[in-house]
Amino acid sequence: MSQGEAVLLNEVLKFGHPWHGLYSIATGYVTPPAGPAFAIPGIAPSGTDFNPPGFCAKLAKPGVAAATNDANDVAAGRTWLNYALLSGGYQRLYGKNMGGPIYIASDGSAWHVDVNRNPTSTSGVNRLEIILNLTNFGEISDPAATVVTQATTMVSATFDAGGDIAGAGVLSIIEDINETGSKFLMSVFETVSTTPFPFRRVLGLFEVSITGIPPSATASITKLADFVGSSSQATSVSQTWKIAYMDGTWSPQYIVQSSYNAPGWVAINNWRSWPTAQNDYTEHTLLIGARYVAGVAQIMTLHRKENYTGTGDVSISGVDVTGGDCLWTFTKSSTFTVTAEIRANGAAVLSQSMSVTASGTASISYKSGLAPVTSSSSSTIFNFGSGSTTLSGVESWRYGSQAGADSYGPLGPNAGPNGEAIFGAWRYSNSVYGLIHREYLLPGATITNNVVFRGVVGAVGSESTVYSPTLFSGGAKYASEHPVTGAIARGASPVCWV
Amino acid sequence: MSKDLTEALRALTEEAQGAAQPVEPMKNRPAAGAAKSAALNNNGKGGGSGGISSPLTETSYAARTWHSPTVIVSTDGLFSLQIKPVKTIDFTDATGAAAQLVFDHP
Repeated sequence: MSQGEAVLLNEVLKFGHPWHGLYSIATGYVTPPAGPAFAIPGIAPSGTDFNPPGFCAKLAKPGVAAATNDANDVAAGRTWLNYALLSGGYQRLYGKNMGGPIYIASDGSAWHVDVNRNPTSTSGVNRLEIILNLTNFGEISDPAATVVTQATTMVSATFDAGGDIAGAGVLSIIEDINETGSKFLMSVFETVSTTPFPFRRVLGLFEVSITGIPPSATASITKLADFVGSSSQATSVSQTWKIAYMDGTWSPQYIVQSSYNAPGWVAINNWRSWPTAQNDYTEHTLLIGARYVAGVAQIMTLHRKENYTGTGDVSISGVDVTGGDCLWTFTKSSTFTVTAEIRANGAAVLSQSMSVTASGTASISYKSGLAPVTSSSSSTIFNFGSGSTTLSGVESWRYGSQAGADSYGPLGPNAGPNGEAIFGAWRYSNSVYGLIHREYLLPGATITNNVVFRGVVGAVGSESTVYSPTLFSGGAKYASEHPVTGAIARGASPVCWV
Repeated sequence: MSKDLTEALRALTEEAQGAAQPVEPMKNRPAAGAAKSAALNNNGKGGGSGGISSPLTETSYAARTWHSPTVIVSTDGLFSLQIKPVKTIDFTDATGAAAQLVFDHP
């Protein structure tokens, strides 16, 4: 506001909404940058797991001068800003839910955007239909400003969800909004209520653009990504096997073999086998949302890969050709690693991994039957964010028989109690994303649905507090990022910058 | 004759200079009673007898004149408040004399 403008004899110094800060639903109060906390005025920010209450987008009219705060403002908890904040899953502004963007046209006029969206399907072709109603906003005058509403022509974009969405109960929300409301991102998804944490399966991500000055504005929609186009999976397996066997002369021998389809061990007739090198690699990508960073749309994906590496050897001693016996000694070491990354437009912005290693030896007499003569093993479990634990004797040699001969399978994670890894991504707000990891428990312990919330990244900032394993329902699953300062607040109950 | 002429010239000169008859000494005024009033400095410009008597009563709201409209904008630029700044307001004082306030454009 231009200072010095007068209403009759009084001079207006500041005008607007100075009630800004961090809102906590637990207290119902807003903590301002300076000064005392105050009860949130009007409607508080709200949302759901899939439309987070931590949403906070900057709304700025270009060219507005910076605002200042004096001692009286601070004492009263007031913070005057030269921009506004759209807060919560329903875009709260001035204590009211807008339910959509505020569009600042090129002439500086403001327009409330009512977004009518309809994910639909026709003849198996899925598409998101959009109609926008733009109504002039923020004009105070006497007589009241004329209400101008413009409905844009319906625009739509098709997407491939891997199937027909008809009857699937899909939802569509606003993912993020740029600073002038001229562009905003939308998603189409379906919710999956799973344990330990629910997730949404994103089927399509779209960008809507508005140009022109109402009542002559136009809108367009562009598909940024869809389920089929982004959900890729690549698998490559490299294995080398050292196969020991005794032939008709009872002379132990080895052959080395690489086989993509090797089952893990080979036992035919009198052969014993052991993998000397193995690398199983699986990766896939999931859409998790979209956001703006400096006005540029980013497609957010969760990238997961599971990597199993194993090395081993087999040696033969005590050969008794006459008696047809010998001692086979196996050594084995393996590592199972799960890595998860959150990527923005393909570039990693957050990465976490978890691994389990195991090693051991075993000796067996060829004629001794199924059980090893001696064996020992140990396992080191590297928990997510909380160090490692070394355990002895917890891994078992696995063996079976095929065609009457013994077969020794891999020692280690794949054979032990840690064969499952769950990584997930969590969309905390329009800009904040993080990884959720199911905490590995010690062997023998009852499996619970503990998850760890750690390492979130926003469009501007990041936060890496380590949280103890916590049930999802009580974990720090709420976060909000201030779109200007980059400060990220987290909590077990909703928080939001207003 | 010369005396008459001299006297005539003096008389003409004093008349030309506006000299009046000798003025009587000013009498003491009684103390003024307490009253609120607006003091306007007319500086000899119109306004009749040189004083305004309180109270001033606006003649008519409809008689106000206005500057061109101006807009006050909220600090975040989002809300705009359009006002038309007042330019003149006409008053009538206690004696029925007209007075006017003239405001500058804010």
